[in-house]
Amino acid sequence: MRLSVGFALSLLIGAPAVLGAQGFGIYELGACGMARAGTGVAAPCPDGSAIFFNPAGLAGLKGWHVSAGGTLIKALGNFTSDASGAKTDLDNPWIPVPSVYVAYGASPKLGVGIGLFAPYGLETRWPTSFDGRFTGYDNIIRNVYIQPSVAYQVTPWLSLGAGVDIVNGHVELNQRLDLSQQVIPLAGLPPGTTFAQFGIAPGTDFANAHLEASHTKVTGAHFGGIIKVNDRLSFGGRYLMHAKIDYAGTATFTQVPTGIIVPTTVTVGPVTIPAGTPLDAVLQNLGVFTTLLPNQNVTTSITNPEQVVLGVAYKPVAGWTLYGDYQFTRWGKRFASLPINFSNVATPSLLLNTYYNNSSDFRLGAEWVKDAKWTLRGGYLYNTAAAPPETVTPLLPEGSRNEITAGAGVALSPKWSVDFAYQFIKQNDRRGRTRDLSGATADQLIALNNGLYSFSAHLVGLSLAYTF
Amino acid sequence: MTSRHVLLFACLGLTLVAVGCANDDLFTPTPPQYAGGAMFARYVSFGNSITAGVQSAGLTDSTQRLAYPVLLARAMATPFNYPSLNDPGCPPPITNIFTNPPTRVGGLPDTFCALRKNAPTLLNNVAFPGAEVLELLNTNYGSPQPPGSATDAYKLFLLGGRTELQRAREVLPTFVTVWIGNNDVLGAILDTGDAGQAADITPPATFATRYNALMDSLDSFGSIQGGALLGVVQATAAPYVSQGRAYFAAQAAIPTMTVLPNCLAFQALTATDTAFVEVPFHYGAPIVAKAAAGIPDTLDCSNYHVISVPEAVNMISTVAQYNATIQAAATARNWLFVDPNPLLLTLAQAPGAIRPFPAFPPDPNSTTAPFGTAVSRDGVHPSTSTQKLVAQSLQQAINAFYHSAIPAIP
Repeated sequence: MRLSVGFALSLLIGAPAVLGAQGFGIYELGACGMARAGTGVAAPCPDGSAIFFNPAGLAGLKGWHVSAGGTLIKALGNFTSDASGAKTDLDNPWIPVPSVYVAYGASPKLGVGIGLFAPYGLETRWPTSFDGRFTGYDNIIRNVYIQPSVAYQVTPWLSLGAGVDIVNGHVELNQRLDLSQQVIPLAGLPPGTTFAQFGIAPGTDFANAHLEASHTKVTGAHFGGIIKVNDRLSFGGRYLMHAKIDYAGTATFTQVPTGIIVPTTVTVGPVTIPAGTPLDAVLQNLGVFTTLLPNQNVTTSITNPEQVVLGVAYKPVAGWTLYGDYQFTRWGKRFASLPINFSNVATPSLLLNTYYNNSSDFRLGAEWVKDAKWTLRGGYLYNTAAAPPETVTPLLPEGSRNEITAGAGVALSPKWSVDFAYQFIKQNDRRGRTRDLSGATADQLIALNNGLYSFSAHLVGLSLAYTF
Repeated sequence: MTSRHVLLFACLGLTLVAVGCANDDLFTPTPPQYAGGAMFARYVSFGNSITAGVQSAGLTDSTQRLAYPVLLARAMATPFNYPSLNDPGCPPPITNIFTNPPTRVGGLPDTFCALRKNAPTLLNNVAFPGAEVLELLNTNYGSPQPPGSATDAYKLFLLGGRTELQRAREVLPTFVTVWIGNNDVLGAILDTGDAGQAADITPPATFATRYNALMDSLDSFGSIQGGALLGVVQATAAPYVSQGRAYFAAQAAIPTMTVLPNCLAFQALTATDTAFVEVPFHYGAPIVAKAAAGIPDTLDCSNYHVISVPEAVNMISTVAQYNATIQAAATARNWLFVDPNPLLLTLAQAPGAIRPFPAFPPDPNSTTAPFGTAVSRDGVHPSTSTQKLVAQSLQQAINAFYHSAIPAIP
């Protein structure tokens, strides 16, 4: 058992997550639940995934329930520029999001378990020819939750559960720096004079920035409850606390050749640059990489928002269960800005205002136990957008989404079962921008919107469960 | 799976499809709404100082925004970014060409540059002063290159060190105007060492090779639906050069100036076209000024600073061959060809529009319009009114050729 948990942990830490729910939330954390559109807070799947979908669902389990699996996510998207009509495709590979749950029914009323899952994360990868590369061309947020949980059946109709969340957070941002926006570090010029004033075109790469930071901490807890009205009807709810993670890491800057030659002798303040001088040499002589952009420490802080989920499960006829869940995610309180602070005082720190909105998910699911071997599932869900019009960026061109799911569970033997699921995400097209502006107001950011983001995704989930 | 299940998933699918459609309204800007407007959704103008908006040997936002492509784009109702330069300019325009050095706005020198005012991501006016065909075609700093000149600074200040083609390709233009080639011959009249010499002129065969390669590059964009190619202006018609006979006539008013009879030389080319001895302003003006100051001086048109009749014939013939190349390139693509020379000939017949002989001090026109109202104070670049006239002519010619309805330019 220790070995399998350790292996799962290594998988989780090694594999980047990707956007699969609203904001940078991910909900596809078990093929059984995924197939029914993530519903089940009132009646979680019996594979141990209740640790995430509702810890109270651990109560009443018999014996050991171990499940491991993952979801492969293929995000498809593009950005169409207003100005040129050019379309740039997202370059995301198939990305695995593993999850592992171990649950044990210690007594008819007491259940315990531990889960490893990634409810928050994203990866967006764009080609380095995309104008959005100056905001970020390979962006990763990966949050692995380890959640030991316990649940107890307080009365025959009420079960309560809770868990403690230990979160390993990792963020990575790769972006190009635009020479046109770079302030010229030269005395004799008016403060704030940029290379753009000397004609350098926006979109002139001169450096690559790689920011990578991580942190592990106990962030909070996860609570759940299930009210079983009768054998056909139950209600459930869960509350996942927010998780603030202060990341610390490194920022590495490398020079990207501009290929530009100074075409004529230019006198700038006290410096005369002879005609024919490579601009890259000028940048080095000005100390751009030694004084402004040395490799250094970097810190940032991201708060994963709390989730509140309420739901109902109803069995209209034998073999059928219908599910309906509503989820509230408090992005508005927790993700209003993204500060990036550099240790070198000469490197300007950044404050990326995100202004996220609270979001809602509406989930409908159905499950049909066809026979002792096959269980069929399907569902539909709708997410409202967490990102407001001013924050649709290459980092996360997010919007409201319609999603359909389908899947099945197969009892391979009395102890082994497998679940598989497919999910299609269609995000409504959104106007957005390719550039960011540190400290900008919402109106200023909306004014930067310069094209249309389209997004869809295919998700394939598979979980293998063992009960003994 | 029963029929009920099928129905359930079908409904879900239809919901998804319904919500995912009809996003056309999210695209901005919408194409121009007049007839044929879609062709002008993204317009790029290639060219040199005229297209960039130089007036009076200066470039500043005050002149850039009056350039013909800016006026044309405004009429087209299409987004159009030009690399705006702060006032008073880069360099500031000349206010008086008869001082030494010429006086510029603010009393600033010709080495002054007020730097860029804006930095749009995409440029629609990619023209830069001094551009020859080769410089559009070639990667910057690649070989071969024309001799370095002061205008090379614009490659940086306007285009950020990239070429016109590179900046234009970013826009994926749907329509282009190309007015290039003037500098392939103009250097011959501006050459203060030996005006008119063949070495200052791109041979027509070389020009044709380069121009056609430029066109091939435009074809490779894959986005251009139409274009207008403008011919090269006859440089000898620019009022920066005056016919020798004009100087000969002027000596009557300046007793201390002697103009030798060799300045009356000419050669008839056609029934309506004649090549004359041409005196560049940089050579003739000091002689006039000296004589006007009471110091006798003589203009000898056999001097190498003067453009001889054979040199003028060569220039005129060269431009005609350039324009044949340009017209053929337009015809091959079913694009519009516009020859600017008839327009300039018409202007030349308007009193005071193009002066055959500069208005020297103390003539009050010497500071307001020394070369005529159609030409700015440098004797080469169009004035504001001529820029508008070019834009109007293009608007009419484009509408006629492409059956479009670009609104008139007031």
